[in-house]
Amino acid sequence: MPKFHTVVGRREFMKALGLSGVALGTVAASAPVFHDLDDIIANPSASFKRPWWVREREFGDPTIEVDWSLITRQDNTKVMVGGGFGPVVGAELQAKLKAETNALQLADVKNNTPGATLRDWALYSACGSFVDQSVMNYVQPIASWAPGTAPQVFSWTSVPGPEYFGATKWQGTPEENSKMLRAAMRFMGASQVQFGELGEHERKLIFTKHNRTKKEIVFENVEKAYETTTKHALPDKPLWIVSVAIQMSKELFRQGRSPLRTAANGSRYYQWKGVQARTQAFLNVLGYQGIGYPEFSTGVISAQADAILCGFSEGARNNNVSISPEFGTVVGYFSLLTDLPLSPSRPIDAGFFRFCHTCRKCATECPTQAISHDSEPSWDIPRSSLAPDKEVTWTMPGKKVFHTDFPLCFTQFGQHPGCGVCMGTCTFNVNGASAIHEMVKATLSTTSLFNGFMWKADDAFGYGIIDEGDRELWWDYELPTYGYSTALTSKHGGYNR
Amino acid sequence: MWFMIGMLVGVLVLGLIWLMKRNNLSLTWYEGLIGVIGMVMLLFTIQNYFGSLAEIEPKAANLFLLVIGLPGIILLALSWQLAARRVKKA
Repeated sequence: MPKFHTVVGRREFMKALGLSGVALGTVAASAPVFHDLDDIIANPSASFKRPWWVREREFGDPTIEVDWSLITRQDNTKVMVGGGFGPVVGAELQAKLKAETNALQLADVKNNTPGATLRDWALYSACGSFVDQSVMNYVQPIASWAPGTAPQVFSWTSVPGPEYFGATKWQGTPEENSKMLRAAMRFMGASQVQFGELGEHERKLIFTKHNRTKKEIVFENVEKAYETTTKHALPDKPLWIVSVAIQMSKELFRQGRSPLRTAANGSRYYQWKGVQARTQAFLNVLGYQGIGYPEFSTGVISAQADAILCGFSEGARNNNVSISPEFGTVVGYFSLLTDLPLSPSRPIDAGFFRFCHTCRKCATECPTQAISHDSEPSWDIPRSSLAPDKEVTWTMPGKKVFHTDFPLCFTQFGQHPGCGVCMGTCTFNVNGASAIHEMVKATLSTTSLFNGFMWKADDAFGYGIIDEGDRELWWDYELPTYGYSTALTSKHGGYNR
Repeated sequence: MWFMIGMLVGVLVLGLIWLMKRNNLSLTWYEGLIGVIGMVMLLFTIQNYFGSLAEIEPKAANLFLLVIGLPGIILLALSWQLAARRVKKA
């Protein structure tokens, strides 16, 4: 008897479905789930995860044998790095070694010895010299940031220039210089760097006055930047923009309005302090200058605009935020100016801004409803709903964007403990372990057809701000150093796996 | 991890081909297509399930099982039953 429309019997089908259910249930049950803080504390893995082949021994019993009866407290001035070398070997040998190594250093630079060229010593000067017994130790510029006591970091030059090595300033093509600076700055802590030329248009992005120091920012016919009690002076000569990205913890930005989120936001500034100081030192050794931030938070040029113009990111629905293909929204941008010729990087189109035309996730989640819900961006800047009788003074016209009501935003962002919900909830604030994220990005870069679906799917799958009840779970996570992956844009060494 | 999964899938596919040859079986084009689609969906689910758990996104992980994994398994079961029924009928 012929079977009509089915060749799969109901019984067989239900049996297969049952097996699938068992399989799915087993996998779900094996997933680690914590329900509250007690669960976490009870979790036996109080230590960090080690490979299975690492065995723990008893307390006080390392693999090196110890006889505590022979051990007494050590005078640390007797150790080699504490000054103990000279008294042991004698001042004569010490002086001889120093003279020899200094001569070798100069000879290496002169001969362009691989591994000891001027740029290699520049990296050493910026990062390594303070742990060395070198004559060229420099003063740490980041010891203090208290007003009046901080060294002048805006145009800091407290390292020897190329003349110390008997060399002339570094000469390379803009492309070579860009590669060199990127390698150095990534090593020093920048997540990634891009470059731009400070042309006629970009000069309009230089502020007239600094928001914290309250000093005027002016161009002068000088060779080097300097500052006085009333102004930050920039040299009126060809300059290049170094746009710097420093990532922040995506997990912490998913905490909503929380001091944990603000901890992540602050992390980029203390990292930037080190990156800026070391970049300035690096450039100084090469014979160039790095014109940085006069204080920790703000420079002399709009860093967000630089990030977009230099091709780090695209503008977002919240026009105070931009979206990077690699880092998403949870990243801070900084800008440094230099007279080292660099190869400008181009703006990008990954379909993000177009996606923001459809997606309103940040606008919906915004606690103050300061982010525009419009379908199309506009040249016109609306007045703030908080002060409809006041002219717009907080931003510049000339960009067709979705205009955020910044005074309204600041009623949350500017108050304890800050905000950043828009960045945390953004569809692009995702990690990289699931293949779906790359597929989504590739799709929306190619066509806008599925933008609405992607936005809704992101919401349905639960990405974004986490539930309040889960926020203390962060303390149990084993996240990377600094709370983010530093290997996202690395190509060599096998780190980006 | 993906090296191991690739090896496993390779061995399974080879085993399937060997079994089919031994029993003198063959799949129709649509049985094969449904099976391949089911297998791709299942692998995609496995990747995204464990990826989402690694990302601390348990809701996304479970939804991948439901939205892509379950249809994938159904397609695989369908492919198998279509072939089995066809052979049995013959």
